[in-house]
Amino acid sequence: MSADWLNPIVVKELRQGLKSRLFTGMFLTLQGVMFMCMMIYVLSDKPGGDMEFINGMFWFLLGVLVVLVIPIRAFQSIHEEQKNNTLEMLYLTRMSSWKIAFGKWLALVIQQWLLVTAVLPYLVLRYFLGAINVADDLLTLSLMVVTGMLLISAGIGFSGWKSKLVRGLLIGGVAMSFYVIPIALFGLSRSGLNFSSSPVVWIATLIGLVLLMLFFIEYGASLIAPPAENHAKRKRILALLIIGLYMIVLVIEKSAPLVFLGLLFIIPICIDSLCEPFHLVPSLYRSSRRHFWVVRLIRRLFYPGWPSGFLFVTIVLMIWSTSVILFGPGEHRIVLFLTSLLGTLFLPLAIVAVVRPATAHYMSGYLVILFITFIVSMVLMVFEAVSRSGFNFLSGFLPMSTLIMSISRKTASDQILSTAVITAICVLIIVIKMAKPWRDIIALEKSDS
Amino acid sequence: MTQSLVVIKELTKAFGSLTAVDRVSFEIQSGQVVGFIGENGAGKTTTMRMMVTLELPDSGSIHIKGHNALEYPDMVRHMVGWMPDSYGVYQFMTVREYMDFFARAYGFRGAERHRRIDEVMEFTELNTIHDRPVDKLSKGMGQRLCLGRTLLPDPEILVLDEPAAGLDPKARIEFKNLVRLLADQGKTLFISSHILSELEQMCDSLLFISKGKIVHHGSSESLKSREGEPVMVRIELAGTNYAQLAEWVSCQPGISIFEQDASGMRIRMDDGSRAHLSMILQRLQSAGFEVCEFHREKVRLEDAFVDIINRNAGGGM
Repeated sequence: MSADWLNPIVVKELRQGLKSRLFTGMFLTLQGVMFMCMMIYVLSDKPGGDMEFINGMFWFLLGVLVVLVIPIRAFQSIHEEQKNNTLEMLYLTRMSSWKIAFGKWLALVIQQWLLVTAVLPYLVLRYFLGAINVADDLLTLSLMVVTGMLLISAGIGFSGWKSKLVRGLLIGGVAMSFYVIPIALFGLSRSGLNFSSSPVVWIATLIGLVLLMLFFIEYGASLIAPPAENHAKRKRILALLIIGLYMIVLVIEKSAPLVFLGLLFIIPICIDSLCEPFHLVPSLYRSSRRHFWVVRLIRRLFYPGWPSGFLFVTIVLMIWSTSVILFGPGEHRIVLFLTSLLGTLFLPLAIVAVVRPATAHYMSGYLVILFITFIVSMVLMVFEAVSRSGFNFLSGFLPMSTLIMSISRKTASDQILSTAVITAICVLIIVIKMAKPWRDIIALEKSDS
Repeated sequence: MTQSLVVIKELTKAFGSLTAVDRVSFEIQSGQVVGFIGENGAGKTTTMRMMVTLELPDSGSIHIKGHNALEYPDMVRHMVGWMPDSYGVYQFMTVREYMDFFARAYGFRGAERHRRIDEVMEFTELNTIHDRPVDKLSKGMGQRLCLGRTLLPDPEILVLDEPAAGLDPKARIEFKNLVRLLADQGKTLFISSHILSELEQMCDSLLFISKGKIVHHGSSESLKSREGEPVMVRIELAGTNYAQLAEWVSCQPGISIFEQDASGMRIRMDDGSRAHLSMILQRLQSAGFEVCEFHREKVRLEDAFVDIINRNAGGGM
């Protein structure tokens, strides 16, 4: 019997996970292939040539298991419980939704570490066989593990969705981030962000990743929590912590691209804030009356639901752009970037709020529209590059197109007008649509019990 | 006046255009065993799921021991045990491991956890199958396991959705005995079932739901012996002149032949009051019939249920 202090979900998941055919299969395959590689090397006449094959096999197999197979299990984790009618049993226990989501994440991370630990002897053996740098290998292994942990957390977060469409779109988003993030990082390094020479940037990135992992787990918890629990507060505080962290680093490093890196981390939190379901649960708002008016205003930014999420996202992005203007080396494109970013984030919300106002969860509609705007923007970019015809003004009506162009430094100044117009229209629609929810919230704040 | 343990007011829940639960209101007193009866799709499970905070009502309120289930679901979840009609099990887990996991999840630690698991396993007789994999249990054993898990935190209120569905007669009797024992311990039970005769024996009061609306709330006796309601009367004669009796019945206002067999006749009387029964018997004797059997038949719960459903087809209570 395991220790009492252990999260029950970890105990259960490990009991089940380690006995599963998948884990046993992964473990035995890994050990078998590693052993075979070593035997090939020892018995071979040409050790130098075989070492490349062994290295390739080592990293490929480990990468597939750590970054692909285990995260795929995470993507099914909470959904499996929903499908098997076991999740509701957990709701009625003393375990919080956070404890359930975190336990599932931790159990998969432990299984990931078990696999990694099992290959460490082969890593050391490869060192004795020569031609490798242990420090580089350990760094690569660490990056692989961190990426795997991040993907597991994203998987846990998204696995709470019952809708296959939403899970598919979110997984698509994660896959797309493997394409977008390296481009963004490349762009940032060209803009002067130097990862290799600055430990501060590394540390900030690492902390940012940890905060992002926490967000994903919290997101998973919020999907299975009762509406009376406020998970928006924790998620939005994580966004503020990321912004704060990067502002501190910005002051130390004086490198504007840093805040763009921070922005990459908070975009998922912003999208979640804009899509959160709005439930008028009185207990969430009533206690507000006791507080001083300033505190009451601040508390409103942390209420669950998209109406407060919209205010939060607007304010966070304002703080972010102000920090770039104040502390950064003066980015002249910041106004265009911010306008197009706001437009990109608000356009799907405005459309969903108009087309499907009664839907509890805006996420599915939001993601579909975001995906369509991304595809159209890419087509526009290709068309423009091929035809070289200046139709910037028209493409500016699609804020994501302007955003992509502003990142790739292809923006013409005439785009800003059309982008600003469409962003303003989106804001106006959202403000009109959120008037009623806010009226109801304020009425509840004033009610006694 | 004592406060009711469960107070449900104007509870409504719709799924798209279908209103599954329509302004349902009722109260349950502490220690009561209440049966919840309704045809498939009547709204039983949805009502129960809202009671245990697993479903959000569109409107209305649920108070369990004074706590609003919508606003304080955590407090309510600590007081309510929920046993669904179908439950999921985990792979690679024995009965003991399953109970251990849930005992941990309910916050039991150390020796207290082991003691509680032993108690519940003994009560539900799971100790005889403690090392069996949970995904290989029969339906009856599975239901016991599910009840055992529900009992772990010793909840004040037990909400059981079709607990006897799919059980063989032996398992059903065993399960019924378990429910009786729980009722004897003073637990408040809210049970839905299709097997009405079983509910009749177990429950203090019955709630009938039809098309999302409560159509009756009261004891089974009050349901079956409602003064002035139509009743079935069996008449047996000393001779075999039933053709004459049939002719006589057809001439009487308020009574009609329901069924006739070789040994007697069942007649339906619109007015089931004692006075009216007595008057009909006197008239029969005055008409020269040699009545050797004249008794009001006990109303079966199933008949009462169908009768109520038919009578309330137009509207709720």
